[in-house]
Amino acid sequence: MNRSARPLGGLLLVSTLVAMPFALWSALLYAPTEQTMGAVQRIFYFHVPAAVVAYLAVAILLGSSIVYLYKRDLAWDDLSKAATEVCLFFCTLVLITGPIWAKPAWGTWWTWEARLISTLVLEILLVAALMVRRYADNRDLGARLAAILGITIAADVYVVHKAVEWWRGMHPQVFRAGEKESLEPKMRLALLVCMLATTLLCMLLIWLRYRTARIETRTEGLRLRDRDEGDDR
Amino acid sequence: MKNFSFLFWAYNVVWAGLGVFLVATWLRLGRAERRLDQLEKSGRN
Repeated sequence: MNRSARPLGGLLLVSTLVAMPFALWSALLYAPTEQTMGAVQRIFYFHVPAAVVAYLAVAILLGSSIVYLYKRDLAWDDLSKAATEVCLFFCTLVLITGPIWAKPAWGTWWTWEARLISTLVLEILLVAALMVRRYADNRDLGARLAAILGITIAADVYVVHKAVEWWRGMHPQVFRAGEKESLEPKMRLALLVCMLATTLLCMLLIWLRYRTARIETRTEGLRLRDRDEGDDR
Repeated sequence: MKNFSFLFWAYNVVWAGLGVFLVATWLRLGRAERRLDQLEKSGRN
């Protein structure tokens, strides 16, 4: 890792540690209880930010996949791997918190509607990208296939985002382009604080996972070098 | 259920545990990177 980038990572670590208690306070104490749904609506402050940062992780995955395919530098594959794992973590959170809200709101844990199906497909594609890396014959082949899957994942995320608009399912649409904000000011502020804290957490996790992946790649390089030197002797 | 302060504190306890884990992971990664730097340098010499 570039040494000059380390203070930025430290700043990310400290700001995440500080932001998270504020997020919990705003979601659980500051935000008013929603009148129709009651307490269960508070899951919204965890569900929506988790979905938004999953999009963010996919944006990083898409960028690093394209750059890897162009440059064939394993550092970009390491970044792509880190983004995939962190995206999988947040996508799983979305798929867990969603049904917890859906049961009291819709009367069912799961329904086969477009937003939910495309999110489930996203989860499966993320697992596939990790499996391709793990089980490919060699590192380069795994990285290339995972990069292609990374681009496919980004296309699926566009479908996830547009699903409610295209197929008009049951899932509420929180953000609509060009429409006036319907959230109460206190709820909006709480959502923003949670969004900020979750974004910081996502960036920190990607950063940590990227550093680990770099160490793994460098260790593998050393191992191969030692093996080659042993063969020469 | 009108007051969520118990949940706030419970989640903060969990977060503190996770925070300690993140800091420890951060420090361990730094140590591993330094060792790798040394190994790579000694290999080049």
